[in-house]
Amino acid sequence: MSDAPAPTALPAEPAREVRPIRVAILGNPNTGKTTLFNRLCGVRHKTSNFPGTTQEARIGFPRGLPEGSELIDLPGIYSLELDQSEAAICRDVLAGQLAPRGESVEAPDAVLVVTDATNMPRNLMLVGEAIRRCLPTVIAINMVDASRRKGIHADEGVLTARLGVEAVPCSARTGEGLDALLAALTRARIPTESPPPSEDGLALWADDLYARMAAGYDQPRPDTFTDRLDRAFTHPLLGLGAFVGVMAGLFFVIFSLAAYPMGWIESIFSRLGGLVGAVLPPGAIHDLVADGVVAGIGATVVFLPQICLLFFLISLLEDTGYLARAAFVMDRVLRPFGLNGHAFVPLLSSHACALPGIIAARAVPDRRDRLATMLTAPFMSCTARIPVYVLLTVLLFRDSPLLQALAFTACYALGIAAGLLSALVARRTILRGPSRPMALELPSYRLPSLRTALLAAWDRGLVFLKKAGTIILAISIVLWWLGAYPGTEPPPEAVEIRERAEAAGADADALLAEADAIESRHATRRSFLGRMGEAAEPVFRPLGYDRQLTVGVLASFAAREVFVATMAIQIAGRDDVEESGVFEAVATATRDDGRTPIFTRATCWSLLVYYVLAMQCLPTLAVTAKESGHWKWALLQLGWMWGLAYASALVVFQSLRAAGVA
Amino acid sequence: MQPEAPASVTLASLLPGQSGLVRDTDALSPGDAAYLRALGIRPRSRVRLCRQGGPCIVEVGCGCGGPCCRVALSRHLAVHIIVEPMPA
Repeated sequence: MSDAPAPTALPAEPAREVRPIRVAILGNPNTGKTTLFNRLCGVRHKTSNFPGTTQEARIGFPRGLPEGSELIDLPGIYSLELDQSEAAICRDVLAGQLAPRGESVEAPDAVLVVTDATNMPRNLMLVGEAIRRCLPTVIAINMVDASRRKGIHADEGVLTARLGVEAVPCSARTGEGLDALLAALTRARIPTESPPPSEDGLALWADDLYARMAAGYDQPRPDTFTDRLDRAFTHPLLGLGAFVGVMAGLFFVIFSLAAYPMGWIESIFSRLGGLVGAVLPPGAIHDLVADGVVAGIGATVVFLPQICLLFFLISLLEDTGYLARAAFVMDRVLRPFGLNGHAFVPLLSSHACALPGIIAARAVPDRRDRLATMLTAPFMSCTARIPVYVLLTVLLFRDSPLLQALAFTACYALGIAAGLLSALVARRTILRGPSRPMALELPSYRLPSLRTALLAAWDRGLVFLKKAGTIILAISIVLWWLGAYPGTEPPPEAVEIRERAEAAGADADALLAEADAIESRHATRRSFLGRMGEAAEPVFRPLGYDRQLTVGVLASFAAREVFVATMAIQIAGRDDVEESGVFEAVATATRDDGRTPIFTRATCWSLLVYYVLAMQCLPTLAVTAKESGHWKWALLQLGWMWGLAYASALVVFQSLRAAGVA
Repeated sequence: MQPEAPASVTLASLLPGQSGLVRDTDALSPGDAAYLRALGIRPRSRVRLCRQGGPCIVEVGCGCGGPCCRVALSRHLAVHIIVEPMPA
């Protein structure tokens, strides 16, 4: 006989049919909730957030339900009663007190509780909490294909008979049972039973319910496959080796595969710029569209392949169950610095771009841990730093690819070290307090879902374009304006060369190019940005930077990659630094005195250190402010990173100069 | 004469592969205890230590003996969970 307390009987209610219906999807993490949502809705969904929170909300429009019906994907939670923001959101949505932004605030017409057939005993706890809400409910027993393979059997009919709600076995991965699930949603019923109100009572109720479901079946086979893999992936040494291997593979795939679409995008925008040049007459509108809008959008969209590829691969890794093991392995490494294993994915993502990294910090459960992760993320060397690293390491070691590669690697190592030390400082000062101890579910290993990974890449790509694209575009236009105005008359030197070009007739091309370069340098110097460079030069002089380098640093304040193009424009009059002859011109460029080189060895090292550490990315600041909920964290990030970059570059330059390194 | 009650130890002190029955989680903060309960680690639940250390890995099966899930637990949590070791 069971010792479970007697359940509270609820009055039976006739089936309710509401058309169209709004369904809230509730479930534990790792139950395949997102895979189910993607299977039912595909790209027919929109992304929003819950008002007053940074929690993303996905609203889907599934086929198979009445026209206008919606699925709301709630955050994955282990219990509705936990003191966590995700649980509070779920509670409020089910109570009809919260809805995704733009949606009417009312209780859902039905709750779809997604459970994992391979882990029913624990999932039944959340089922019990959900049916306490007395909302029309359907239970999806997901992953039945996996449970069959593992020899796990349970009678779902017991749930239907006992609770008075439909329990539908299904597999979001294969599509099995999904038609029946959608049909069940249209006739969702209010449960006829509710678990006892106490937590102990709920646990006994869930155990008793599962015992009845599993009665008559054999005990499941031990999961030796997971055992064997975990022995390697969570081993202190083997696990770390596997982690390094997986991450190296991930970056290799991202950087090697993304290079192709990035090249195509650059080519498209280059042609688009040429098209604008041909269609629009010369003037302010032409310059705004070609140099501001097209260049600004192009500079943003070019990073889209890396962002999409990163999230595609992370989704695949997460789906296999490996990512939780990686977090486990990294917890040992990160904890001495006041971070924990949850910070690993955001920090990894930040190596592509800090924006998705900071957004990914939402997965860090504790607020202090989350803020420390956000403050650390921009120190990771993102792809926007790469053009700067390439230019400076090649200038430093022209004839040694090996030393270039070592310097390049040192930049990444310096960023990681500075990030971890900054996290340690933050956790011992402004974010003082205990770090949340790790309690992380390690899901079973399984084959990943390609569909889920593709949709993750699609979603993140759209978010990146919408958020970062608009901000970078606005900044690009402002920078273009500062760099282009006020217009200046051509310098006498350029006028004289043009007169000689006219006289030269057919051989005028080289002279005209020289005149263009002189006019471009003159215009840049006399622009608002150039004048700002002159004004700010005393600030950067101790770091070894002259007026032109100061303009480069200021122009790239909004986006680091602008530095290379700005230097090329100032020095060579062209922004394609890889074009034959332009790199040589940059390498041998001199300061305004015409004698001192701009890029000395000491200056190059100083610039490298500066660009590894400085917060030269306005979109990152905007996203930090949004995700942390306050601008003070973004300003603190800006001040700390800039101060650290300035001080470090100062020490490097002055030390090298004192040591006689020119 | 009453048989002697099995000695209670902390979850962290179980041997790898050894199982135990959770006796109490009272030494944990209410927030941590609630979170672990939601993960399935609660009085009367059966646990098996898969890997020692900080963090350790624990296999959690519920009182009914159904399928298990694996949870990585920091040492701080594992030393505050009292279990009764079970015979192999």
